[in-house]
Amino acid sequence: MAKSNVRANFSFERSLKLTGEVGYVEQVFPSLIYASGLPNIHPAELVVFETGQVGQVLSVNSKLVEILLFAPAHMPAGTQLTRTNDYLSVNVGDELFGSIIDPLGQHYGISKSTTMPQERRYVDMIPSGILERAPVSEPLETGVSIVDLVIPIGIGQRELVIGDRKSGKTSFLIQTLLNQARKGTICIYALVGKRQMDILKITNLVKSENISDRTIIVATAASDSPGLVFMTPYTAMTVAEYYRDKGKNVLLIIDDLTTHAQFYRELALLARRFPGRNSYPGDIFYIHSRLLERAGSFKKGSISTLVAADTVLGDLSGYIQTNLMAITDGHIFFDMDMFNEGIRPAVNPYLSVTRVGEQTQSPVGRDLSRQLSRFLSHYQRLKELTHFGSEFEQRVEDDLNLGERIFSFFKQEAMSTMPYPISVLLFALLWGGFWRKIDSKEMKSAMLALSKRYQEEADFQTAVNNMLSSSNNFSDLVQSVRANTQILGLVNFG
Amino acid sequence: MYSELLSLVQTTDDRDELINSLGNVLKNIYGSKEVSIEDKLNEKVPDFIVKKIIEINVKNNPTKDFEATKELLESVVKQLEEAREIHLTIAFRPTHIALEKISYWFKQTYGADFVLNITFDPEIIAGAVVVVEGKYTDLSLKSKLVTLFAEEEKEIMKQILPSQ
Repeated sequence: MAKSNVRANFSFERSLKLTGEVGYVEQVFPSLIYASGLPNIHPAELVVFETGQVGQVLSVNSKLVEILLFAPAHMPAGTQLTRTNDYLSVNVGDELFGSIIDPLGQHYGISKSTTMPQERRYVDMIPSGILERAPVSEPLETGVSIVDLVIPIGIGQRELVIGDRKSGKTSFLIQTLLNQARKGTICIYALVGKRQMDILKITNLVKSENISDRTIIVATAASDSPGLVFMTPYTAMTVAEYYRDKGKNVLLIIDDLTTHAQFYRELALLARRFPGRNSYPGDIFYIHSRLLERAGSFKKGSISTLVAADTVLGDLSGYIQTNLMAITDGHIFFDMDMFNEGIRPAVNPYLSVTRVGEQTQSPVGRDLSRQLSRFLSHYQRLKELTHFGSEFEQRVEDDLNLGERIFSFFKQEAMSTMPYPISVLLFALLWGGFWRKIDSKEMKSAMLALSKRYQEEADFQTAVNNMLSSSNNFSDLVQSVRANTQILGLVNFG
Repeated sequence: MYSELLSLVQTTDDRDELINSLGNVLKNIYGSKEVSIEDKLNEKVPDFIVKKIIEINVKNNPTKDFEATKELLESVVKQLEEAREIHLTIAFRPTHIALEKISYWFKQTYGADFVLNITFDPEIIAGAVVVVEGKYTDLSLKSKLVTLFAEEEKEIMKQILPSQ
C-alpha cells in the first residue's frame, strides 16, 4: 500500500520556523481535515501536521481550511499543523524508468528502491498555450490493424478508449504500449485505483517484454486513500511533460478516468459540495479537461494520450463518458456484442471516431482508410438485409464474403502487434482478391506468416516499404502488389 | 460589546464554564416568566460575573423586562462563544495572581475579546510559545538554546570534550 512519504521533504518544525503560522485541527473526516488558524494559507498549498503527515489545501473560508489527506487520518482534534509555503511536486528523471511510483513520487509497493531523481516539478500545472503547440502530423502506430487502418491515431492526439468492463480495452492499451515502447517511445502507464493484482500484472509484463528502460508506471490501488488516487493522473502527466520538454515523444496511458471521477465524487460529497448530475460535483468536467489539455503535439516533443473509460451496457451517453468524448480528439469504442461474437479486439468501427488521425496518414493510408470505411458501412447495411434470408446475386455474396474476411483479418491476439506497413500490404492483398479461394483460417495463417517474415527479414521489409512509398494511392498499391507477387515471394491463391 | 464582562473572563476554561452556567440559567427560565432571573444567576454563576451582568442589564434595560434580560443573556453567551483564543504554552502552572497579570497584559495588547488557552509544557524550560490568530511566536528558552547550540556547536563541544 502506498504511504505518504512527502513527509521526507517537509518537517513540521522546519516549516513552522519558515512560515511562522500554525493551525489547529477542528474536525476529522476520512481523507478530509478541517483546521482553524493559518491566516495566509493559499488553496492547493501543502500543509504538514505535527504527526508528520502532509495534506493539500482544497478550499479556504473565513473560519476553516479544508485539507485533503493522502493517507488515513490518525490524529485527534487539536493537532497542530503549519504551512509549507510550497505546492505538491514530484521528482522526475531517468532514474524512474522501470519503477512504479505513487502520485507523491515515491516508490510504490514492490518496486525496487533506487536513487531518486533530483529535479522536482509541480504536479498541478496550467496547460501550455497555443503558441507552444504544433499540428498533429505524424501517425502513432498502435500495432492493432483495425485501429491503424480504420481509426488512425496521430502523435500528440488524445484518444478515448471506451467500452464495457472486460471488453478488451486494457489489452488494446497494452498492445499499443508494447508497440510504441519497442519503437523507442517513452511510455507512462497510469493505473488509477486499480486492484493490486492488475498493477502486478502490468509490472510483470513490462519486465518480461524488456521495455522497462522506456516505461514508468504511476499507480494507486483501490484501497489507497481517495486523495492519493485523485492525484494519480496529474502526477503521470507531470512526468510526461518532463520528457516532452526534453524534445521526446511520450505515450501516456491513463486507466481509467471513470474510476478517477468516482473517487473525486466521493471526496466532493465528503467535503459537502453540492451534488450535480449523478451526484458528481459541478467541476468534474474541469478536473478532466485541465488534465487532458496538458497533452498534445508541441513544437518540442509531444504527449499522446490514450484515456480509458468504462461504460455500462454500452451506453455512450453517460455523464462522464460524454464529458471525456468532448475533451478528447476521438474515441475507440469496444463493443461487448462484438466481443461476445468472438471479434477481438472488439473495436466497433462504425461508432469509433478519430478527429485528427487522418491528416497524419500517407496518401495510400488515407485512400485505404476511406475506401475501407465506405465498404464497412456498405457491409453493415448488407448484413442487415441477410436477416431476411433471401437469395442474393453474386455481387452481394462476394461483398458479404469480403466483409467477413476483412473482420477475420482484423482479429488479432492479445499481446500481438502488427506493424503498419505489413497491415497495409496484407489488406491490399485481401482487397485485391488474393486469397479469395481459400478459407479464412488458411488466409489468416498465410497473413501471420507474412507478418512474421516482415519482422524478421530485412530484404522483405525493404521491398514492402518501397512498394508502399512508391504508390500514389491505394488502387496503385493493389496494382503494384499484383505485379510484384514474385518479389514478395507470394503464391497467388486468387 | 460587553467588553467589561469579557475582560473578566481569563481563560478558555473560565469561558466554557461560564457558557455552561449561563446555558443552564437559560434552560431553567425557559417558558416561565415568573422565575427570577437574578436568583437563577446567583445560584449558578460566580458572583463577580453576576454583578457585572446585573450592572449591564440595569444600564440597558432599566425596567428589567424579562424578555430583554433573556436576550441579554443569550447575546452574552454568543459573545463568549465567539471569543478568540490566544494559545499560550508556558513551563509552569501559574498562580491566580500570575494568571491575572498575564491575562491583563494580553487583553490590553490584543483586546478584551481574547481568552487564554494555556498549556503547560515543562520541556520549553522557560519563556512562552504564543499563537495569536494563527501567528506562531516561539519565545521559549528551549528554542533559544537550540539555536545557540546550532550556531556555536563546535565551540561548545570543545569546552565539553576538550580532548577531542
